[in-house]
Amino acid sequence: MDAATAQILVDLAVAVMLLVGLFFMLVGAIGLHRLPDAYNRLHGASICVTLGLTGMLIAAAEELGSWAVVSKALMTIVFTFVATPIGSHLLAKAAHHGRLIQWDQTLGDELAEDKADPARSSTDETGLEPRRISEVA
Amino acid sequence: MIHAIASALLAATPAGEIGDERVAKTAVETEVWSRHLVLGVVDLGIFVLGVAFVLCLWRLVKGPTLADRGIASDLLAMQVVGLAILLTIRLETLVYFDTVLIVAILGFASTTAFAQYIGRRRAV
Repeated sequence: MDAATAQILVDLAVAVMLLVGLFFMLVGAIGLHRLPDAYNRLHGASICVTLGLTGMLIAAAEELGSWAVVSKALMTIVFTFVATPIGSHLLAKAAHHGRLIQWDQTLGDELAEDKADPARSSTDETGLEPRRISEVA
Repeated sequence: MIHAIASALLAATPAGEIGDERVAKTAVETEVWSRHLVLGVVDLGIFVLGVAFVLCLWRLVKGPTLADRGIASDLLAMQVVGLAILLTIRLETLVYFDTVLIVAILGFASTTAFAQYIGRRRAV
């Protein structure tokens, strides 16, 4: 394999990963625009970050190839994979705490039922009594 | 056009400052046909991210609730990150790549602060 063939293969991989990342970026933005309420729109935001940004970062690491770029891209991928679910969870929990109105075709609101009836959430399928963290420690 | 502006900007700067950040390409790497494919995909990507910007800004303006605006601003930060990656590939410099991690961290911090604000307000 000569240098030109290797370069063509690298470029094709870069183009494919860029297209994957851009596809998910666009899908996330369309989801943010089209989905009916804020809880559903979190799906679009999360998919945009995890799959879209990761694809584009992998493409940049393939294209530039130096250790500075690869390490920074890897750090960003790990950070976004940790931070994005936490951020989405925080937003959804805060919105539920602020009594954000759900879409009228949502099937149920189990968190509100558990909050209204504490005995409902005291046992799960295992039949064991749940303990607070302070009791365990 | 972007490449012409960037070349002019890079040529106007002193040699020691950001000249070291340029990615060195050999003659083989710049002359194969697949370079044009990658650069075309990057140009398409700038257009796609522009469309995504418009959709997010529409959601940011229209709302209707505060949580929607928080989600839209978080997504806007991530699209700025994507634009920085595209500029890094297109202009072949590493000066933009440092913004990737910084904007990602700032986006997460702003999302967390926004969630705190929504939860404390108790009425969306």
